[in-house]
Amino acid sequence: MSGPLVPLRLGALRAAKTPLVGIVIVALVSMAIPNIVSAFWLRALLSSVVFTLPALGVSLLFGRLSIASLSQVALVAVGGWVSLRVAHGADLPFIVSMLCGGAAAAFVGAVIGLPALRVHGLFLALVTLLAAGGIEKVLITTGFPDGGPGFLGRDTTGDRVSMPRPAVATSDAAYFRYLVAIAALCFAVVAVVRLGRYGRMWAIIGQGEAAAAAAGVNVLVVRTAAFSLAGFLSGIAGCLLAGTVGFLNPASFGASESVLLFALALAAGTKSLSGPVVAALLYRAVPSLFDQVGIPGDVATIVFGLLLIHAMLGGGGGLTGQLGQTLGSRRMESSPPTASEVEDPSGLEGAAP
Amino acid sequence: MIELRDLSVTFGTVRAVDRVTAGLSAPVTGVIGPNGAGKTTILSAIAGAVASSGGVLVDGVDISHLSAFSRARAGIRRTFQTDQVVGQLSVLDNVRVGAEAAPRSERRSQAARAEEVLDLVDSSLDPARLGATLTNLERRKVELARSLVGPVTVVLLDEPGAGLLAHEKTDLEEIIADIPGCFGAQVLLIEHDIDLVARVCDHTIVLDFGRLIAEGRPDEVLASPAVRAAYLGQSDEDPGEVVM
Repeated sequence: MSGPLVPLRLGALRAAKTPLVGIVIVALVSMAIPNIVSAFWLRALLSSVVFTLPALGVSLLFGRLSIASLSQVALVAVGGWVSLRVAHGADLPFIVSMLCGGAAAAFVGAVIGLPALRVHGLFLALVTLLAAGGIEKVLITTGFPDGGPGFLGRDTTGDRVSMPRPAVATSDAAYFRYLVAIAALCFAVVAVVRLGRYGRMWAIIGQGEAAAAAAGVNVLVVRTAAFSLAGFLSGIAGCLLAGTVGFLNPASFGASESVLLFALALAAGTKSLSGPVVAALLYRAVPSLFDQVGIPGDVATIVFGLLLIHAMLGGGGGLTGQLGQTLGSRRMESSPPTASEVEDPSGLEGAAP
Repeated sequence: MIELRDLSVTFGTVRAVDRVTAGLSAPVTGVIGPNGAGKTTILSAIAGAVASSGGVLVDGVDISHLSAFSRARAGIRRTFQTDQVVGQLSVLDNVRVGAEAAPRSERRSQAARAEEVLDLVDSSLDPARLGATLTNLERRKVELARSLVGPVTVVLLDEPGAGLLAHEKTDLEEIIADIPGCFGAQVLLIEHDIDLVARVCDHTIVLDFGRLIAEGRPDEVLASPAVRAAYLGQSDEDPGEVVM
């Protein structure tokens, strides 16, 4: 087996190069953007960075395990609720509230994912959608904590308390850099997991559950773990969103929002790590762009529908997949691709928002 | 040694495997029969991929109560009629997945052994190549290598030669024949190419409408009137001419 050693080393060099490029891009983006965009656009981009995380969860579940989860935005709300409750009730550091929100959403995500043992495809998607609808109804009834008394933490005196940001990131510019760092860390964790043992198990489950079981993979445990990880990412996003806005509104977390984010993740592409970044920009930055140039918000939905159709007609790889194919076609002419090259054909692997 | 005791599989009102009882101890056993005879279903029942009644024993241990992944961990490994190579994983990662069948304490060493197994199956295969770029034969080899990483007591091969050219089948045939010697595992081989079965298998069982209608050495079985009738509806054809 001495033959393959040279290609393996070359592959390792290429694999090592892409995260470095990603780190440089993340650093440049986080340093530059707050200095060059207006306050309006900075707020829009703050929100976009937050939603890269639930989009990453969608991408993980659909792109790797072929599971359509229509509850990721609802899990953002779960994480947001718990983070707000912990922050207002216990006055703990922001990062602790965030981890609590992530853990709660991971638990709820695992519970939603449990029917995956028996239910598949469209029916599983419907189960997740119904769960999102259920969470929406509960939140409309309870509302989000805003510094009030009792378990629900609802204020009725008009003296609402906003979610405190971390002490190191109180301004929008500093908070933007904080969000980028957290999101980059989450993307890096998912990238590492994808390259390891769990990544291999996700890939073979996506290929076929019978094949996975035949290889000795405990499909139930691995699928539930994937739902948990996707939930955790959404929960983290819930806390970050609460820190962005100060308060959360149940109307922002309707089941239809989960469907829209799922559609945009598909349109952007679920195979690479750059897909969730594009999906989040479509989800939050594009409507802001339309708003600023005076185009009605509903037009964005039509544009998203057209993008989704375009992405599906293009082979299902999404916008990032098509971009990667275009960029990678020249390289493929000279040598067959290795795994590290094709995993993220856009070359943005590891590049957090 | 695989023992099947009154093994039955029912899909709705159709009994796909009908009370099959057999003791299989040959290094390589062929499972043949016309289309719809229940060959894949019996392999799936042994692997735990479909619900069945009756008993499946391996080396005297009843594994009937085990789930599919537990059976894989008990050494019952399989490949599929349609190969299950993951296009987005490298060749080596495709093989490494098989290490999941190993006990927790051995997974790391088994994953490291994947390259060695791959080398035994085909030393010319580049481990870094992507699954999506492989030829049909290479995909078959990669899937076979995956089934040989981790514990291996029995390897169930479901038409590994499907879609391969004659010289490619010869290549694969040599690998299959080496499995008992190299890995100490028994092989159950479903194959439509009767010549390949005759060359590779030491023992053959024949299914028709889910029932075991004959078993024995391949040449004996192929000469059986019941087998010829099952395949051709007549009994005066040369068994070597049987095409399935």
